Amino acid sequence: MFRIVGFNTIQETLKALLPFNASNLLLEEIVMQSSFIQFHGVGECLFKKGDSPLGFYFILHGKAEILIPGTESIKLVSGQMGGLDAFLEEEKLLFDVISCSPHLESIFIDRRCYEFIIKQAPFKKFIDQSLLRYVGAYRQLLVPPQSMFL
Amino acid sequence: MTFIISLKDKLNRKPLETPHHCQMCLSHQKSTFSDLSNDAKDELSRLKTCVSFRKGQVIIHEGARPQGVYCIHNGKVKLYTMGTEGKEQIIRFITNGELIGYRSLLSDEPISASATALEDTFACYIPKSSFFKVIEENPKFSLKLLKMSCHELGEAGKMITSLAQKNVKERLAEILLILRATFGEDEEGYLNISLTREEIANMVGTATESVIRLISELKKEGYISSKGKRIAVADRGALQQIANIFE
Repeated sequence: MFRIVGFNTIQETLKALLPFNASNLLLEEIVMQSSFIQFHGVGECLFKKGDSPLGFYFILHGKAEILIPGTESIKLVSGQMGGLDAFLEEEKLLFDVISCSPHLESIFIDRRCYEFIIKQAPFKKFIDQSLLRYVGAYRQLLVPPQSMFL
Repeated sequence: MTFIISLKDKLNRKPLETPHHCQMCLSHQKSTFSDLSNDAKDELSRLKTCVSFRKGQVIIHEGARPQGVYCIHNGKVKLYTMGTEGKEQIIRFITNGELIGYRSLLSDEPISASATALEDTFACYIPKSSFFKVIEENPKFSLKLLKMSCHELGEAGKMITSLAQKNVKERLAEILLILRATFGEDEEGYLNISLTREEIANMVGTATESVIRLISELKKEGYISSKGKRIAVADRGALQQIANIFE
């Protein structure tokens, strides 16, 4: 179905997802510097294993997952970021990241945009928290299942 | 579902109005999709999204993997890659009816160049599924895409040669001629695109200061004229000679 996505739509969605009160000026700058990317189908690729991390995705709407072979995948929902760990480490993507909802909307934040947002203290805290959530999710996968102890 | 649009309807529409159907698009005749059948245009229109971009807004970033293509409805867009130290190298410009992102979609690779709107721009985002269906069902369209891709490859080759072998003045003259051929001139004879000196420098592949100096040199020699950011080609033949372009 035909849809129209404008600057304000992206800005309002972003504002609603952030856990702090970001000024409109700041949000405008982020929308200007990031790129709006949408995915129309389950299984579409956000990143493929081995891609260079020139940026990361901030999910505005829909779900994505990090596919880790031989174990459970890590689910990403609105307000979370895909590819952030590889981007910060400046290392190639270790796993595929795919969409797992029929419609996914995101903004792609490249290094120039990241360097701008990281200067804002609440954003820096938000990125740090997101990274910690990543670490937590990976650590969860390393914990042996309870059945092993039974 | 087929739309029959009268010429009157087309003329009554404002250029920036969002087209719900490709058939209604004012850039349709220039578009890559112009030769498609009505059924194929229906398929493209079925799932497309219209996205508006403000002047200076990034449309797509190098390294992302959009699963669709943008068809520019109205506006001007620059394509560029980021060099070391974050310096832009402008590769080319995109205007009404042209596509962004089709090569990375076909090659299943991340986008190789970023795109930013140079003025308020409207574009239609066509998802991969519709785009691929149209390719599969329209061999003529596939051939057109192949031709476009080959043309871009040829242009990239020319650009590499130009950057490697021509001096800055020759490259600047060439870029001014390319801009004139791509965007044309307004009523006063100025190039129909407003670029900063930095953007021109990013296209030429040199420092902004050098471009400022060379523009005033070309102006003194009478080959171009300028007013603020606007530039007019006064002597096309002379610029062709400087750029070593032979028709």
